[in-house]
Amino acid sequence: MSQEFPEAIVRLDTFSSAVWYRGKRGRYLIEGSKCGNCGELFFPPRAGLLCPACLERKMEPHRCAEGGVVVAQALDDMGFPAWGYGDDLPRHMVVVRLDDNVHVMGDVVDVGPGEEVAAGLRVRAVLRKHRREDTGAWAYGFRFVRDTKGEKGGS
Amino acid sequence: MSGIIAYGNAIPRRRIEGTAIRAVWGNLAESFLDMLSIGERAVLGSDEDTLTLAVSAARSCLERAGASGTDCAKALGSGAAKALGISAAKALGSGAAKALGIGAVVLGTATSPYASKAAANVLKDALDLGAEVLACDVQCAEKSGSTALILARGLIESGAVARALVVVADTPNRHTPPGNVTEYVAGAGAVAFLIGKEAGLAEFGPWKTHSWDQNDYFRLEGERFVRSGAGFYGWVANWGLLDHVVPAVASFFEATATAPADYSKFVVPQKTGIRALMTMGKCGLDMMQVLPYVLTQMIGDAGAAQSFLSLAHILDWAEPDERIGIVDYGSGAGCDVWSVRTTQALAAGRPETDRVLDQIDDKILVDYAAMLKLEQKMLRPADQLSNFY
Repeated sequence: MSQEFPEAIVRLDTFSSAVWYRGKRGRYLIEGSKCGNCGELFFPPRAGLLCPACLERKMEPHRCAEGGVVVAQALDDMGFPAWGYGDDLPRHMVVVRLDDNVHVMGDVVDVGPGEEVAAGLRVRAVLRKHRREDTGAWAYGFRFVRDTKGEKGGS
Repeated sequence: MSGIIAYGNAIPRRRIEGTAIRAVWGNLAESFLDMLSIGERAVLGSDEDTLTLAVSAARSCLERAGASGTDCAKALGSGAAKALGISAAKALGSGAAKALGIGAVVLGTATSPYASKAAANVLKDALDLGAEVLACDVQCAEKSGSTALILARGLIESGAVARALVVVADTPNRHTPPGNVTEYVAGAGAVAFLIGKEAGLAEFGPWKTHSWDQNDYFRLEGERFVRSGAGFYGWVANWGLLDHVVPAVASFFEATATAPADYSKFVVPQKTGIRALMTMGKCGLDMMQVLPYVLTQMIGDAGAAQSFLSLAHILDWAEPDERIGIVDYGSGAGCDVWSVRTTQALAAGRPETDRVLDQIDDKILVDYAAMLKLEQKMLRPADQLSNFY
């Protein structure tokens, strides 16, 4: 058999290495933006400085919390996967309210048989391989796993 | 003087039973499962690799040290940090590195996702440690961890950096071909040690090493799968083990003027249970010093991370003022022997959640076909490797 890893390589021109490089802090650290005036938080980070809430121009980077609670989930089990996720089905797509009240979209991974992913589930962010850049290099980013800290074993 | 300030560990959640592998290949007599201590072994998720495990272990370690870099305003300060009087780091950006004085990140692994790029830089960015922190990979077969630790201790003891993060992560399971006998034990895992000049939870003792060129297990440049050398093809070869372990342990005891009885616990090579027994017998160690801390029957062999997981497991439960010996062997890399002495801070500073045994207990069993898919061992046509299929 092949000595290569037979993992999919994304073939989308828009996902260039430069785009992956610029989005690195967002993917690795869930870094968004914070208005230095009114404290409003944003994820993904805002491209401009203007805060839509208070109209002040004092946007600064903000590392969001790494733990949170699932507020909405959808199970992608249609057999018609989105590009780049073909190896990880069924896929639990969730909206997570992080501990600083930022809502982010992500996947809950490492879900065992019989374990339910539903609103209210406590999760924490981990770094996982998302896909490959168009050059073949690995693109890492955050995903969520069930937060079992404080509990022994199981859910 | 240098010591372990905090540690973190990570083990993949998925496992496969040795009997499930035997049901497919039938290449190992049933009695060998017991003889070689083959129980279950860790299986990687398709989105996991050396780096993701390293990041999990390192984040847990920094959190236990009282430094979570996030800006989320909450009172930080874990048991380890409190016991050692380290103030919690809540600063922005590279707060964790600055608050803890981390000057170097050393990643010890034999299975880096990259052949040339420094995987430690991905690790460092994922921990937000700052561009001024030295990052490097140390590749030294299954003793990459011990060697990385010895080098990082050098940086600390020489005063070059105040503290260093040594992360040991390895994924032999992705690099073991289907049908090879090492498939029964090849697992994965990661351990991170934050080390510094203080004694911390456990103070490092002297180290000794012994190595020469020997083709035990190896991967050639560009190869994915590990070969076993010396004509033991496909078999669990223990060829180089005693050549290096015995003289290394003997020189360690001689240099430190100690004997096996001076150590309460020993971490030994444990690719299979046989290696632990061979080391135990030839080095004059007692069964109770060694066998309770062999993890191979539960998670397989995590390569470079295995002896560190074993040590983390010991630190999870050890009493203060215990002397613990570590014998770390790497195929074609030789043997490093070192020791730690636990301190009074260990009782209050050790973790209460996510201990090694907690992570071992928290598992999802998968079958052989799922393992092949998850570890990317199935042959797939070229058109499926792009996403336009």
